[in-house]
Amino acid sequence: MSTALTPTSARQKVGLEELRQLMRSVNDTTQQLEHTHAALSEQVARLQDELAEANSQLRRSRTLAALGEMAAGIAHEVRNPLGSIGLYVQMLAEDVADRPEPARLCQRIARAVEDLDAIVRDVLLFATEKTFQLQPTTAETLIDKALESCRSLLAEAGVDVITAGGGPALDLEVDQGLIVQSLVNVIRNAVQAMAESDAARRELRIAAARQRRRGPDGRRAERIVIWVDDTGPGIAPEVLKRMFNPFFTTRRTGTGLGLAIVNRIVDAHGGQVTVSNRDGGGARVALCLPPRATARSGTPTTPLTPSSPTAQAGSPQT
Amino acid sequence: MTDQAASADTLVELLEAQQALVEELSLLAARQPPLIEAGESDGLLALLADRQRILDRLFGDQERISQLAASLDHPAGRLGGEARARISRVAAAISGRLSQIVRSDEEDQVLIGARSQRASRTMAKLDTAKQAHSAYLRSRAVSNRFADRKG
Repeated sequence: MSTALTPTSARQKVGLEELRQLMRSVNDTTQQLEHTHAALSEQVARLQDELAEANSQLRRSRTLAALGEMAAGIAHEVRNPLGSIGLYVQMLAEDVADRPEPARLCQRIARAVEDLDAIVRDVLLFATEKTFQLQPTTAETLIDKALESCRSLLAEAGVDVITAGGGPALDLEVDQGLIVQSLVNVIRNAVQAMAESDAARRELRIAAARQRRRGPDGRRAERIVIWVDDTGPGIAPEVLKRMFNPFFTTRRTGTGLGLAIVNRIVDAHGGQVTVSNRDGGGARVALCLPPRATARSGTPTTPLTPSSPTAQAGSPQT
Repeated sequence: MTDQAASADTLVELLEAQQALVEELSLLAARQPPLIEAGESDGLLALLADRQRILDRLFGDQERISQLAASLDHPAGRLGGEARARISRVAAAISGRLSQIVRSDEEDQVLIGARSQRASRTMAKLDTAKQAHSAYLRSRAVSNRFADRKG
């Protein structure tokens, strides 16, 4: 029998080829759909995270702005009568200078007025718009200056300081005074946290490195990270969410503005503050700042405004 | 009925079932853009979960379909023209609809990208909003800027 195709079998052969091709096409398109579906799911999950973060930041920002506005209003109102009390108690003290007991009471009132005035000053400092002067510097310089400012505090508290150095210079363009002040506030909090704990070892590690980190806009970018580790009790989860809120403090004294101010300063530099508990105990506060090349530029004076920090896990250190 | 004919019938049945699933997928895909536009990520994830369930059923029958399709290679002449036409019609419909869903998924990915950028811009604008909020406050000349009472 001849193997040549008859006209009918030729049509059938072509038909089957088409069929096979169609089945392959179904198969291929299904595979394609599997991929686009997976990509879409991943993208939606990411979008959900981003939207949640944006909403959360918006809420925090509004809360902080409202808190700052209210506090500034109260502080302004309190300041005048406080000034009067201070003046009158001074006059009274002069009148009773020859009577020890009333003079002692006057002194106590004057001290209380000074304390209150200091709190009002902190509040106004926090709530008032400020400017910063950008200048080239390095992370190492900032650390050295901050440690120098805290030298006596650290010595009195018996805290061992460990610094890591020797690497390449980490260039920044920041308001040196403000970032040093931020580091001082963080170090002070760490020292106070360690003083409150029973830990036999009081150790403060301060170091800096260049790292790629996710910024407030969700994008990964290069950052100079300066971190301060302590051997304190760490941060309770319930404290973590509130620790950057102005006036939130777990201590009996203090205004609760220390970390709020740190956060505001770092945020104004286009950076982020992150807080976490360390595996071996204690807390880590990290100041993530843009490196010199990408540091927030613009006018030499830029307003500082309240911000929303990133608390990852946390110790009562406000 | 020959084995070949039985296979063809089963294949057609399976393909028609697949077609119904693909139509369901298509309806779900059409609901995606408004959800993306509204930023309804929870609704989107729920919809994608529904899609995943349908896809699982779709993939579940794929192997059997491939086997049956391969068996069509056997004595070609035995598969009737009508069976071939039915299989071809359903397969073409499935393929066409799937391509449509893939294209719409790709467009939705672009939409999601844009939505994500909008979220980023909103976050960036927070700074501006905060500045506006505190603008009413007068600047004060202070020497120890940002030092709280404790330092």
